[in-house]
Amino acid sequence: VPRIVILALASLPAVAGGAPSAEVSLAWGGWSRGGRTTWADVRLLPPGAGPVQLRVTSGPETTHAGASLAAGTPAHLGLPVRARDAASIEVRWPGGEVTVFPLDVKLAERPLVAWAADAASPPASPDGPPDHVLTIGPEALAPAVAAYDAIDALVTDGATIASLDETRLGALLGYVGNCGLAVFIALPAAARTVLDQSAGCGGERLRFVSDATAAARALDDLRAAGSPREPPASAVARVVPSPRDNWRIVVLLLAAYAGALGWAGLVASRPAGIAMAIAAGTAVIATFVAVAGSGALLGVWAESSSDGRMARYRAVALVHGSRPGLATVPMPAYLGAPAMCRDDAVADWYWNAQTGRLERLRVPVALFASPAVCFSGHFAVLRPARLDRGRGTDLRLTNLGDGGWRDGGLAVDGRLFPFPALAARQSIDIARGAGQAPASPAEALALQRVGPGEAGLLLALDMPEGASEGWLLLRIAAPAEPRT
Amino acid sequence: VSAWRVASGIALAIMVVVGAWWLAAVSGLAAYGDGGSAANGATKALWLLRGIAVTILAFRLGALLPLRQAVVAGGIVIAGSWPLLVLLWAAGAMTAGTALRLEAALALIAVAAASCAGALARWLGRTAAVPVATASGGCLAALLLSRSWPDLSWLGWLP
Repeated sequence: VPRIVILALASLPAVAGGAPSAEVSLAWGGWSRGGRTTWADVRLLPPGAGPVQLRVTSGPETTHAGASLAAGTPAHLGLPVRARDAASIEVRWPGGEVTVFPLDVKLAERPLVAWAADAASPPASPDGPPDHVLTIGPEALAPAVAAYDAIDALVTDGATIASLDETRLGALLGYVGNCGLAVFIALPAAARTVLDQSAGCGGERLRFVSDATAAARALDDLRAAGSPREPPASAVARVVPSPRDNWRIVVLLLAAYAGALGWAGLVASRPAGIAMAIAAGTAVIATFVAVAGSGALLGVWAESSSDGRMARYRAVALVHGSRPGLATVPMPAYLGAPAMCRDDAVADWYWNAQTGRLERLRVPVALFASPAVCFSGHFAVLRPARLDRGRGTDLRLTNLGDGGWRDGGLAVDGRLFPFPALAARQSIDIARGAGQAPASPAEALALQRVGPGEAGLLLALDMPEGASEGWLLLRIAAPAEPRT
Repeated sequence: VSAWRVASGIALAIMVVVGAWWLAAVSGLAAYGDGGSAANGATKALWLLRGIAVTILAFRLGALLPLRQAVVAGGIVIAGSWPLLVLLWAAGAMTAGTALRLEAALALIAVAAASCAGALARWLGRTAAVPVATASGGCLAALLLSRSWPDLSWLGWLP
C-alpha cells in the first residue's frame, strides 16, 4: 500500500498512563505536483484526555488544528497540506510534550496519474511523454476532495468504485464535479449516470471505456483536448471591488497637505504657522492609518454553458489593511479549496476538524499590500438559454428554463448588450445597435472570455451577505438559423 | 526671503517628488501585488534627500543666521515629510523605532551642521564663512550620497 506511515513511539517521553503515539500518512503515498494541495491523515493515541494541538508547516504557510482527546481512545484527523519539499507536522500533546513528524512529500515532475483499477499494470501511454503513474488500491483513494488537487488524472474501474466508502466516494464525485480529468473502466450504467450528472465542464473531462488499453488512449485524448479555459486568478482579482480606494484617499490627503504646507510657507510670518500645518497633516494622516482598518473583499467568477448542469468558479479574496500587522479573516463556508494565490505568501490557516474546512486565515498586511486567497470549485446551475441571430437586425434571447433571470448583459461580437429581467420561457429582442463597450471589470472579463463567434450571458450571482461581487458567465449554444 | 519659507519650499519639493514617485509605483502594481518594496525604496529616498538638503541648508544658514533660526529651518525640512513618512511606515517594513532613530539622526545633522557653521562664522567672519560653510555642506552632502550610492537597488522600482 503506497502510504507513508511514520510511527513515533520511542522518541516520546513517557507520561502517566503510557507514551502517546501517532501515525501520519499522506494521500497518494506522499506524491503530489509541486505547489498543489495534498492531504495528511493523522491518527492519535493519547495516554490521557485533553486538548491536542497540531501545526502543519509547509514553506511560508502554517496550518493550525486542534482536537479534544479522550484517554486511550484513538482520534483521527485529516487536514490539507500544501505540497512542498520541506513540510512537517508538530503535535502538542495534552501534557505539553511536543513531537515533530517530518512529512515525506514527493514532488512529481511529470503528470501524476492515479491508477486505481484491477488491471495488473497500466499500459504505457500510446502518445506523448510517459506519466508518473501511481498504482493504488481502493483504500488509497483520497478521502477528501482537496487531496485530488495533488494529481492530474484518475483512472479507476467499476469494482474499485463499488468498494469505496461514503467518504471516498464523496471525494471522487467532488473531483469529477470540479472538472477533474478521469477515465472509468467497465462502469455499470447506474454509476455512469451518477457520474455524468455530477460532472463539471459538461462532462467533457470524463471518459467511460471498456478496458485498460482504451483507458490509456482515452487519457491521451482528454489531455489533447486541453484544459478548460479558466480565467487566471489575476483576471478574477480585477472583478473584486478594489481596496485601492485607499490609494485615492492617500493621494487626496497628500495633495491637501502639500497645499497646506505651500500656503503656510507663503503666508506664515512665523515658523509656528508652518509647524502647525505639518502637525495637522501628520495628525490627519496618522488618524487615517490608525482607523482605516483591515478586511477582505471577495469576487467570484463562475462559468458554465447554458445546457450544462454545473458551473465552475474561481474566486479571489483580497485581504487589505492600512498599517503593518496581522489581519484575521474568516473563510466563506460556501467557497471551496482556499489557497494563497501566491506561492510565497506567508499565511497561518486555522483548520476546524469538526466542519472539515479551513475556517479562518491570518496574514500579514500593510498599506497597499493585499495578500490574496484563491478559491475554486463548482456548483449546480440550470439556466438554459437560446440566442437567435437575425440577419442584420435584432438578437433574440430566450430564457428556456422554468426560473426567471435577473437583468444582465449579453456578450457577443465584442460588444455587451444589456437586457432587463426575463421571466421563465420569455424572449426579448435586443437591438444590434444597443451594444456597449464594457463599463465594469466584470463586463470586460466577460468579453475577453467569449471568443469570436461565441456568445455569453453575464448574470450577477446572488451572493451571501458580506460577500462583494459574484458573476456567472453562461456560454450559449451556437445560435440557431437566422429568423426570416 | 525668510529662512523658513525656503525650508518649507524644499520640504514641499522633496515630499512631492518622493510621494509622487511612490504613488505611481504602487498604482502600477498587479491586483494582489505587494507594495512593500516600493515603500522601502521611497523611505530610503526620502531619508537621503532630506539628509542632503538639511546638510547644505543648515551649514549655509548656520553661517548667516543665529543658531536657533538655522536649526528651525533644518527642522522644517525634516518634519515637512512626516505625513508621507507615516504612510511609508504603514506600507513598508520599517519599524517605528528605526524611523524615530533616523529622524533623530537627521535632527542631529541639522544641529551639528548649524553649530559648525556658526563657529566658522565667528572665526572667519560672516562674509568669508558663508561660501566656506556652503561648500562644506555640499561636500558632506556628496559624502552622504556616495556612502549611500552602493545601495541604490531601490531605484529598480522606478515606474
